[in-house]
Amino acid sequence: MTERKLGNRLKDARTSRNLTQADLADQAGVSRKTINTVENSVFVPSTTLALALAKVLETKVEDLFFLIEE
Amino acid sequence: MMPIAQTDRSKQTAYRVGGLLAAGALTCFAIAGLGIGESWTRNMGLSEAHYDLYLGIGTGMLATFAVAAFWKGRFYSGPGSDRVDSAQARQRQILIAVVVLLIGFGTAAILHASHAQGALELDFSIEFALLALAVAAATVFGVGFTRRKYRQAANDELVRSLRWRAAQIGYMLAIFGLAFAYLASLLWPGLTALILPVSILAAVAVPAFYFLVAEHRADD
Repeated sequence: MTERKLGNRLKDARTSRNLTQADLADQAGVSRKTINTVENSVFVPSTTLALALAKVLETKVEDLFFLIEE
Repeated sequence: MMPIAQTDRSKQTAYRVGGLLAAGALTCFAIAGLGIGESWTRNMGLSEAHYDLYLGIGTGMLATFAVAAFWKGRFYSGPGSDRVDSAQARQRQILIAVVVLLIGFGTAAILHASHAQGALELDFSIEFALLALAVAAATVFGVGFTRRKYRQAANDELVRSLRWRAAQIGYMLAIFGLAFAYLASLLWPGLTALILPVSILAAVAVPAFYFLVAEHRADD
């Protein structure tokens, strides 16, 4: 069975808008550690948080997150 | 970001309170020093041996300075103090205080259990000291609900995830610990009073410690 992992371009999207992790966390209503772990693919965010991050970064969820099939 | 004037006022308040508490602690120390061997200290229930007196004074000073230091942090209103991370840091401090108190009270219970078997001579100085620290922690941290970002910090996704894992660890430890305590009570009845507090302590302190370490590692 194919194993799926969640990849993301969160760091690229964030830095392209000159936002720090703390800024993004503040605007998305989560902690900086949550943003850090999502960026490092340690933590898989909920749909709500993924949508919130996309909204803050003015992009689509699909542009931020993608599936890696192994 | 809070206005600079407000930040300065908060710091001034913190320093004044800290100074007052330090002066109070020094006064207590001086009074206690003068009172060694006097009848009025014995009337207060302090023993002849004085070691519990010194421990009490030391704890009083520690607790007082802790209150002063944390009081300063409580009123800190500099950049970032209204963020979720700030509220989370306070919750982390409360958890650390709870873990320290739990380990302290647990250890005291274990020592008293040993004492019941004649292994150790012990009075209630440890509990007295921990009670002072508990009061200091409760005064400093408060309930925490008053912070604007409290709910957001408590419901943060990463924190919720770690809390769930910690609860699982605690549940497993509680089951195994209590089962072992039950078996031990059948096999070695004399050790039940020793094993039970260890089991309960492990079921609470280990998951809390896991949570703190895991949250700390989220910074990597």
